[in-house]
Amino acid sequence: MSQVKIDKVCKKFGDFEAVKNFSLEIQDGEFIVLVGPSGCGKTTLLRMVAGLETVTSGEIFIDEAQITHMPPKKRDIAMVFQNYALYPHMNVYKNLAFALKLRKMPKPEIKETVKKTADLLGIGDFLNRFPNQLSGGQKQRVALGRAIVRQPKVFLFDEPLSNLDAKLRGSMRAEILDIHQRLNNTSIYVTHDQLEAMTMGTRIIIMKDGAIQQNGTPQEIYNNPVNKFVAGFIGSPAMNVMSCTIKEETGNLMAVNKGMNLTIPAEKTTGLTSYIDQDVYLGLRPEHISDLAGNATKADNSTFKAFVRLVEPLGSEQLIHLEAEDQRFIARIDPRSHITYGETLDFQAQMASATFFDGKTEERIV
Amino acid sequence: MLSQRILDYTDRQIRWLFSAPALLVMLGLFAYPMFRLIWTGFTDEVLSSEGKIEFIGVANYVRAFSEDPHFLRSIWLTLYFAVGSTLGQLTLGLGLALFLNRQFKGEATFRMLLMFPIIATPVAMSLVWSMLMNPMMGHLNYYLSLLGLPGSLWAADTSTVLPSLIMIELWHWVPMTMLVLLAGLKSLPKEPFEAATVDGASRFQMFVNITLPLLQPYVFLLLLLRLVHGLKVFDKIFVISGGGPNRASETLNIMIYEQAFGATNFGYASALGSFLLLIILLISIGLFRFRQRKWSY
Amino acid sequence: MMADQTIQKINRLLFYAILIFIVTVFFFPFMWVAFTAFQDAVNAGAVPPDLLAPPTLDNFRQVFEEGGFISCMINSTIVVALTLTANLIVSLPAAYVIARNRQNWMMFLILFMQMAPWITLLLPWYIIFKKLGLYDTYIGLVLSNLTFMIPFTIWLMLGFFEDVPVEVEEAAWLDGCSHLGTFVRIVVPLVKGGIITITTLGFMFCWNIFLFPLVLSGYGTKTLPVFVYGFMDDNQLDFGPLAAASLLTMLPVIIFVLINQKYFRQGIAFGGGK
Repeated sequence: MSQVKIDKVCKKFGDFEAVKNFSLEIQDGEFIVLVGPSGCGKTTLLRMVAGLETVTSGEIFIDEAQITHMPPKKRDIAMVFQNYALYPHMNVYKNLAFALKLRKMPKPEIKETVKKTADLLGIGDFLNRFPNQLSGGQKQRVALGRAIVRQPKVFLFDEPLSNLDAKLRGSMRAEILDIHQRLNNTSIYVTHDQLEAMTMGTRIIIMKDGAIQQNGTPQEIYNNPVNKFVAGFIGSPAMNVMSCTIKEETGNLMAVNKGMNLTIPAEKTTGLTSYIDQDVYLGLRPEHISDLAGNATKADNSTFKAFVRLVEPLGSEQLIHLEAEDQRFIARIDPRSHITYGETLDFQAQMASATFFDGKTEERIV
Repeated sequence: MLSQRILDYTDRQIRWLFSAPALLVMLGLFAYPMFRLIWTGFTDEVLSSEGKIEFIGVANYVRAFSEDPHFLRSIWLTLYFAVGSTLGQLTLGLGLALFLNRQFKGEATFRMLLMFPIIATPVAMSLVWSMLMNPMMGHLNYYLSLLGLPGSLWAADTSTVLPSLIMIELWHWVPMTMLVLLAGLKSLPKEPFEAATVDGASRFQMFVNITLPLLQPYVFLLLLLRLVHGLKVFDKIFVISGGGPNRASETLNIMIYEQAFGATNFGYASALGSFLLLIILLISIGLFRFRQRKWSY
Repeated sequence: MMADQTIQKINRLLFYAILIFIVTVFFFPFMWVAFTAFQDAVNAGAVPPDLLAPPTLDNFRQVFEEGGFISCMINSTIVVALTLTANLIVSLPAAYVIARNRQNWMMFLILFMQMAPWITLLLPWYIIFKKLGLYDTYIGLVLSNLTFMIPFTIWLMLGFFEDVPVEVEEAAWLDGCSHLGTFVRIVVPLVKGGIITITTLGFMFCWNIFLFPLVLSGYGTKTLPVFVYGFMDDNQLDFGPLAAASLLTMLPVIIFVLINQKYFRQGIAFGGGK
């Protein structure tokens, strides 16, 4: 259907730079998720694509056509808002039909299109109801329907699920994805929820302070975060990050912290040799810390002793909160291991999966 | 590219045009006349004279403050009327609102009947009141005599004319202050009262320590609004007493009207008008400051 | 136990007694005017009143025959209708823009325009209107009424417009609606309550206004309040016809406001009145 190209876009509110030199190309049919903490500029960027916010500098194209300074009504873009933004004085049918009516579509055709869309979303029975007679989930479906019904070039979603409760959010997530797979529209989805980003995006853009931190598939971002911020932002529970010093001992590189001496495997050492005797950050995902319970492996130089502060059994796994010296970690561990509060045990760090970040720039080393 | 930019800018700013009609009307009918009024106040313009209008500086003001004994008197009469009716409206309105702050049978009918004085055409009601207050044939004196009280000359006597007018003003507006304060009372949060009940406060203590402080913004706002209104009252006085007898109820508004359209001293009347406007401007500033504070709660 | 109940009963009785007294004080003039309007020349001024006297329509006949009453009523109706329509067309868009770009100085100007004494506006108007040929025209009276209706309407409508979520407007733009289209089709229907309130209060203000038409209307556009004032001078002490004229003048506005009672009370509670 359509591609979107955002070229060196900046947005200033007075002295405050909300979006800095932002460039991004979105291919036809992609589902792009913009994610970041609040105030990172993701919503501003979305609103600039929609035309609701002016662009300070830079250009935006849809299908090679320059739309940077086009009013919203001419852009052929649909947006789903966080608070639904349904027309309160129109029933569901009229909400869906409004845009078609403005386009002077003949009445029978409007009727058919609205009906098809409503059936797709399972709101066919509510067409005569008014927005205040609908539940949150139903309202969100109508808002989706209003966007779908006119087959726009690009779909924009501005945190559409954050007003729903957790359970509904899960099912709506699946529903939006399902619709996307059926219609294959180019979509830009803004959220602050990393779980939504991971599960929905064909590509994720992580933003902070108005700039892109990383752009990649969910897997790439999870496995290879470019910096400490991304590592901490994606994944739940977050990646364990601790500061340590790189030392060389008997030909091996070690990550050293009070009470902890972890050997760095050979395949990781390449980038780290220049950091000897310097401070770095060591990042370990919770699933890369394991207990020794099942294994006969004795404590070796990739293990450390830690105190169990809290055990969170989640059924399919358990999260163990650990404390070693001043550092705190979370480990994701097989639910069959019997670990209880107050124990001090040996845990193994899977250093082959570890990530290292520069101590000053916080950029990834290896 | 540039033209697109200009078009887009216009499209975004076009909404401002929505305010253009109102702005034009207010410029033509408010801003310019205000300017004209102040300017005329420094001239010797006379109504219906086609002759030359001369700029005479502050002569009109000098005349008002030092040569026209009625000017200072009319300020006093205006204040007397405005302050008297404002205080009356607030005390009576507050008293009634407190008395009625409960649920009772016939509440809706009662409120409807109380709305009548606010709605009814003031000129028509002034006419009705002047008939009721007629010293010879009016019914008021008859009812007083039923109660064994002596009759009054009401608006026909220099000493009773202003109190009579204030009484009518109270009849006209107390229902409104009451409705506003009642709405305020009903909108007060319940929790402080419940907490005080638990703490064992008496009804009087609750009134002094909770109701009044919570209601204070309403009362103060109403006080300023009613005061400004009182300074502007024209219809009643004009119809009932016409400023008399013997100019005893000739407030600033009536005096300005008489000077302009009776004595045709347009320049002088404009100077008096500018003076009144200045007073209202000062009160408006005070009122606005107060509203701002209230909004920031 | 018994004593408690008795005290409660007495309390209730006392409450209703005071209530009836209050109603009497505020409603008495209306009862009097309604009674007197139907009395013949002898009974109308009688002290004490003869409550059993046979009612008569003579007074109303006299008011209608006085000449001018009907044309003044028509004038009043025309001026009110024109003012209210013009007011909505002029003030609603302005209120909407100001609600979306609220600034302190605007708020102060609007407040001050509501506060300014009418007599001070009237002096310059008289000269300007005469010069422009607006004296004794409907347009002149409508313009004079707009001067207080516009700031009042903007002041009251701000809250209503601010309650319309910006996102709903944005959704309409994205749906392809123009600014004017969004305003007319989306925003205005959502502030219906405010519009009825304004129309109700506006009817009252414009029907009742006396000072402006007193000076600005001549023989051709005289409104009812000015007529009543003149009628009073012509019929001094003739209570019957005077009461009938008063009654006829205030009846339309009372009926109109009572129909929209709910909105009237809202408006009064909001603005603290004029």
